[in-house]
Amino acid sequence: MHGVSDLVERIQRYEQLLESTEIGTWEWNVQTGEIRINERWANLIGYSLPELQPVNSETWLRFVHPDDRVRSDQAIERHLKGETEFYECETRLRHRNGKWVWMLDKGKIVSRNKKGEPEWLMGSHLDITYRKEREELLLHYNNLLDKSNEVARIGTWELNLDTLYAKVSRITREIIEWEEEGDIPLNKGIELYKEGPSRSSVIRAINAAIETGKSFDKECQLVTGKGTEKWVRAIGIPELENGTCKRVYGLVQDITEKNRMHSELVLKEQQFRNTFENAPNGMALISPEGNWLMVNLRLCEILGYTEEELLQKSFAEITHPDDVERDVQFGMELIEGKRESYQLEKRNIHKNGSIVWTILAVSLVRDSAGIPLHFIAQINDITREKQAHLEVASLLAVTREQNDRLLNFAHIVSHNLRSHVGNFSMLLDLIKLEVPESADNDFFPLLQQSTEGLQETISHLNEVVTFNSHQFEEMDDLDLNTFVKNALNVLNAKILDAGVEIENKIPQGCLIKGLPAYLDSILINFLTNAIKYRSPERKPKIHLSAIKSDPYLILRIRDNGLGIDLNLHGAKLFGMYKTFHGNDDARGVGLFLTKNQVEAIKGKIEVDSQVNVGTTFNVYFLNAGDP
Amino acid sequence: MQEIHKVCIIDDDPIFVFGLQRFLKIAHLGDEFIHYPNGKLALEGLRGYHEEHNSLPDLILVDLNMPVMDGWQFLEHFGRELNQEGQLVFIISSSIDMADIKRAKKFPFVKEFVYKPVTSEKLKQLVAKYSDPVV
Repeated sequence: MHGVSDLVERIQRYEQLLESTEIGTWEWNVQTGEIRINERWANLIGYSLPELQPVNSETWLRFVHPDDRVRSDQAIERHLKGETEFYECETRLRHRNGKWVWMLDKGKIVSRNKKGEPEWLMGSHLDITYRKEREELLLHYNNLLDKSNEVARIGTWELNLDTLYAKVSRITREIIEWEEEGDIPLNKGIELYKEGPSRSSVIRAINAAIETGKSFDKECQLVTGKGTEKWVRAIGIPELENGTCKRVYGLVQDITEKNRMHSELVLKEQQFRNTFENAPNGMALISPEGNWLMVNLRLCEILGYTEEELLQKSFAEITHPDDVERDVQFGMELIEGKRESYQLEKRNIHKNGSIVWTILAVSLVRDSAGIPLHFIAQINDITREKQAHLEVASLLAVTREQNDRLLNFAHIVSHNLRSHVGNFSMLLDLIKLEVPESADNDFFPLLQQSTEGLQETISHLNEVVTFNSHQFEEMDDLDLNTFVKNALNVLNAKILDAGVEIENKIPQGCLIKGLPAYLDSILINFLTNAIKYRSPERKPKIHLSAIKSDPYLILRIRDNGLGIDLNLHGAKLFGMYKTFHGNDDARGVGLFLTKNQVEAIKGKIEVDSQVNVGTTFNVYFLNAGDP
Repeated sequence: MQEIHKVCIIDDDPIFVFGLQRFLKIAHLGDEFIHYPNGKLALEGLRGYHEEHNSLPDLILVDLNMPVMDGWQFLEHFGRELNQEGQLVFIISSSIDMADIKRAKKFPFVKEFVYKPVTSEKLKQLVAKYSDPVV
C-alpha cells in the first residue's frame, strides 16, 4: 500500500501548494453529483468552507451569473464528449459583498468508471476580475473613441514612406468616400484634394513634414471618390527614426457641416446686426447691471447722443428721475423670472435736457443654463403723439368751455327773448281787444304772424336747450303701443283733417327702453311729419309695424307721401333747421331733436325714401321685452 | 269763491305789468293794482299793507326772475311771515323749466303756475276758476 500512501502524500503536497496560491479547486463526480471544494474556493467569493457546507451540486448554482451558466454547461458538455482536452470557461460568481467576480474556470476529467464513462472532474477557479475589468475598460474606451470619431467625423490615416501607401480608418474611408479596399497610394490620396490652393498646400505640408519633420494642421477642400466637395481639417504628424521620417500619421475631420453652420451663423449675426442698426425704432442691448452693451442709430437720434457718448451713460442717467424706480423694479422682475417682458411709457432726457416721451418694451435673454445674458430694449419716441394728445385734451377743454358758454347763451337768449316776445304777443292781443279797428290794418296780421314765428323759433331753441339738460336720466320699460295710441290721439284732429288712413300693425306687448317724454316727442314728430308731407295726389296712408332685431326693437313708420331726395338732402336730413319741402311751416328742428332724443335713449334712426313714393323711417329702440 | 278786487303784481318788466293790468281789468280779475319791481320791495310793501289793512291783496302774482330778490326768496319769506289761510298766490313766469315747476309745488299756497305770454284765453280760464261766477 506504499503506492496509496505515496499518492495521498502527493495529493496533500499539491493541496498545500494550492492553498498557498490564489487558486480555488473543485472536484466533481459526474456520475454521483458529489462535489468537493477547498477552503480557497470559498475564500474567493468571501466565505469560509464551513459556511458553504453542505457543498453539493446546488452550491455552484447559487453563485454563478445566470448569463454564464449556459456557456459553462456547454463547455463542460464539449469536454465530456471528448471534443476538448480541457474544460475552460470564464464565469462570474457573486461575491459575498454583492459584486460579481470574474473566474477563470478550468477543469479536466481525471477518472473514468469501468464503462469508460467520465467519473471525476477536477478543476480550479482563478480570480481574473482585475484583468476582465481592464479588458472591458479598454473595449469601452475603444468604442468611445470610435464613437467620438464617428460623431466628430474624425478619421485616422498612416502613410508609410517606404511603400508610399496609406492605411486609412473606416471613418476616413467614409469621409473621402473611397470604395476600393486596401491601402491607398499616396498620389491618389493627394489627388483627392481639390485642385488649386487646397491641393498645393497639402503637397507643401507633406513635403515639409517629410523633409523637416514639421507637423501640419490645415483646413482645405477635397473632392471625394464620389465627386462630393467637402471641407476637411487635415492634421499630419511625422514620425522620425534616427532623424529620418519613416511614417506620417494623422487625422482627417469632416468640417463641411461646421463650416456651413458657421457661415449661417455669420449670416444670421449679420442680419441681426443690420436689423439692429437700421431698425426704425430705438434698440439696445443692456447688461443685467443696467449698462448699455449695444445701441442702434435710431436710439442715438432719439436721445441726441453719439454712440460713444451714449455707451458711457447708464440707463438711469438718461431716464427722468421720477421714472427710474419703476423701470428698475420691472427689470428686477424680469431677472427674477416673475415676468417675461414689460412695456411702459416713460420719460427720457435728451442730451439737450428736453423730455422725450418713449414707449419702452424690454425682454430678457438668458443662456441655455438660464443665466441672464442681457436685456433687449425697444424704445419708441412718442413725444409727438404725446404732444398731440395734450393738444387734443386742451382742445377738448376749450370745446367744452365753448359748449358750456353756448348753452348758457342759449338759455339767456331763450329766456330773454321769450319775455320780449311774450310781451309782443300780449300787447297785440290787448290791442285787438281794446282797439278792435286796429286789427283791420294791413300790418296787424303781419305783425301777429311775425310774432308767432318768433315764438315758435324760441320754443324750438328752448327744446334744444332743455334736451341737453335732460340727459342721463334713467330709462323705463315703455309699452310701445300705449305710446303710439296716445300720439295718435293727440294728433287725431290733424289725422281726421287730412283724411289719413292709419294702419297699426305693432304687435301687443312690445316693450322698449326709453324716457316717456322723449318717446312721446319722437312719435309725435314722426307722425306729424308723415301727415304734413303727404302727397296731394294720393290718399295719405301711414303704416306702423315693429320687428325685433337683437338688441333692438325696430319701429317702422312708412308713409306714401312726398318723399325726400336722399341723394340731395341725406347728409343734412337730421341737421338743425333744414327744410326740404316747399312747405311753409317745414321745420327741420323736429328731425334734429328727434334724432337726438332717439340717440339719448340708445337707439338710432334709418331712413329710406323715394321722391313721390313715400318715406320709411326705421326707428331702433333698445328692446325691453319680447314682442 | 272770494271776489278778487285787490291784485298785487311783483315783476320787473314794466311792459308786462302794464299789459297784465289791462288784461286783468278786461277780465274783471281785480280793480285795484299794486306793483312792486322785485321781491324785496314787495315784502316791505306787503308788510306795510298788512299792518294798515290787517289783510293782504286778494291775489298776488309773482315773477321768478327778478333783480335784488327773486321770486323764490320772496315766496320763502312770504310763506313764513305773511301768508294766511286761503291766500291766492300765482307764479307768472316765462320759465318752462320742469325744475321750476317742481320747486313751485313746495309752496302749497302757490295755486297756479302761469306761463308767459299771458293771453286773454289763459286769463279767461283763470277767471272761470277763481272769480265770482256772477261777475
